[in-house]
Amino acid sequence: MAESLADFVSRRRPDWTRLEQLLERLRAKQLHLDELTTLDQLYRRAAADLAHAQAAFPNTDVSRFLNQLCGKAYAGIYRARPVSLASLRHFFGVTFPAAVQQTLGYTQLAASLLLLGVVLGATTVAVDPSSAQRLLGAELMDFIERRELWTDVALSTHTPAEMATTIFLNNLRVTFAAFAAGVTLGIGTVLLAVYNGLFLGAVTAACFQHELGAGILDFITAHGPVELSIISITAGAGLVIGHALIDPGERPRAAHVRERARLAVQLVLGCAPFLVGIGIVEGFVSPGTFFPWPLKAVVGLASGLGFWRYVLRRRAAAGT
Amino acid sequence: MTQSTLDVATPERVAVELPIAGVGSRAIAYLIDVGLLFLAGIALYFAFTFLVPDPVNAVLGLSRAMKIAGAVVLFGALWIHWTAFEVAWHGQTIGKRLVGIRVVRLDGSPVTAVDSAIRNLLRLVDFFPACYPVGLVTMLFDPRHRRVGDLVAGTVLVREEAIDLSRFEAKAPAAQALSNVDLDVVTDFLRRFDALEPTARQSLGRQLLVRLGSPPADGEALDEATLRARLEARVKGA
Repeated sequence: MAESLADFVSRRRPDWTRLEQLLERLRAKQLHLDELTTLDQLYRRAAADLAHAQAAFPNTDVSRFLNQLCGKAYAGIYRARPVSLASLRHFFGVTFPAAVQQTLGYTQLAASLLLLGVVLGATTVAVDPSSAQRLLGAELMDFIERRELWTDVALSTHTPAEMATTIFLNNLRVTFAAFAAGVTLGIGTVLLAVYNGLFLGAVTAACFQHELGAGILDFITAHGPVELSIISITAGAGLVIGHALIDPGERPRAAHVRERARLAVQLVLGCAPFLVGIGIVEGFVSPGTFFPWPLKAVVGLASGLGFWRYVLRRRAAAGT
Repeated sequence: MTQSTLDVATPERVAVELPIAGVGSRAIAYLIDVGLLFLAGIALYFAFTFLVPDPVNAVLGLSRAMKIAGAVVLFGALWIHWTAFEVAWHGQTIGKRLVGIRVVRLDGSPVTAVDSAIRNLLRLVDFFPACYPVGLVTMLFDPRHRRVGDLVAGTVLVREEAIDLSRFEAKAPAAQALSNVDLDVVTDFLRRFDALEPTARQSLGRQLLVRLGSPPADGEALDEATLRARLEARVKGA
């Protein structure tokens, strides 16, 4: 090795200093186009210097310095594309609908489980009205037996904004629980989906038995379609994870689960804004008689159709 | 001592090794950030007293749903604060900048907004139930000192050292006579001369003189100035 450490540093240091300055300007977004070529050249030379230093002067501060310089330059030059409004649009325009379409089978399975729960709950209460007390809890049954819709009572003591917040947090809890329960091989998700359906079925049946049938339908109709769709999709996301855990196919389990979990997270993230929106509808539109029932039905039908039209668009399928 | 590094394979086929930040420096950076947040919180409290006479009781008087909503908003604000800093300052917050550490992705590239959002959202898991027990345990077991948030987001904290190279630049032929490693060791010792304990200064300085082949005579007392002058003479050839 002909060159000494001191000579090496003296000879090359001006280039390194220049590279540091250019990186500083790159970071401040002040770099000119012609400087970019210089930056690229200086980075390549510094990388060569680093290779030389690693061989000739290992474990000196010079090789540490070059390591750091090249690390910084590498990070500056090979930068990942930042998240922007465009990527957000891409997510909701392409990625999320594609994810829904790709996992439609899981969503249908989750919806069937929910429906199974509804049928079970409604039949149980229809056959044995006293079981409603155990299924729904004493507090809720008190309201129903007094022929009062608890949502209207809640509205008289809380502002719609408070109702919307409570409902949103509750929806968030239900959907995330169904999704997170996927890690129990999907068993937890299945149970939660059936349980949520059971509750819904039992409430509806109990209301019908106490002359509140019209009231409960009036309450559910505006937000029900989208809310149940979202619960089905996120529960489907839990099932995706559960299925991946049980049967990874021909690949290592960890790799397969990681990829499928990505898909599942896309489903949940995509559903989040719709969950907020439907919480607002449920807090402001659904309760009370301020909005007449035909209007609520139109809102429910339109939002449900609109939501499914959006996620099932053909353009999204072409995007994958 | 071997220290853990993050090995980055660049397209130029040169392996860059970035030194990984340990639990200690991460904790200090965190404490600085939290201290600043605390000060900001106090400032905010007094700002609110202009609007509401007694903010604490005003909050306690809210309904349960509004309290929960308030907690969610507060957490959201903290979450956005961490993420905004890390994105705008390329992986650094105020505390991280003062300590000299930086969040990077596993391939050494800067964190994206999504990475940062994930690792800061999972701060909640690491913090659970109080004061980071989960995060500390994972950091101790992970060879790259990552907490749960880093593991999920695929990020790691690296140290950034300010290395001044001017001490290497040869000005006289005398420095050429030293081997590269000796030059590194001696100049580093001289750089830190004033920061060392006097006894450590003496014993290290003597060992270095022996290593350079000009040991002090037996029992010769070297005062600080002489010791420094002798070593500097070997490097600068003055």
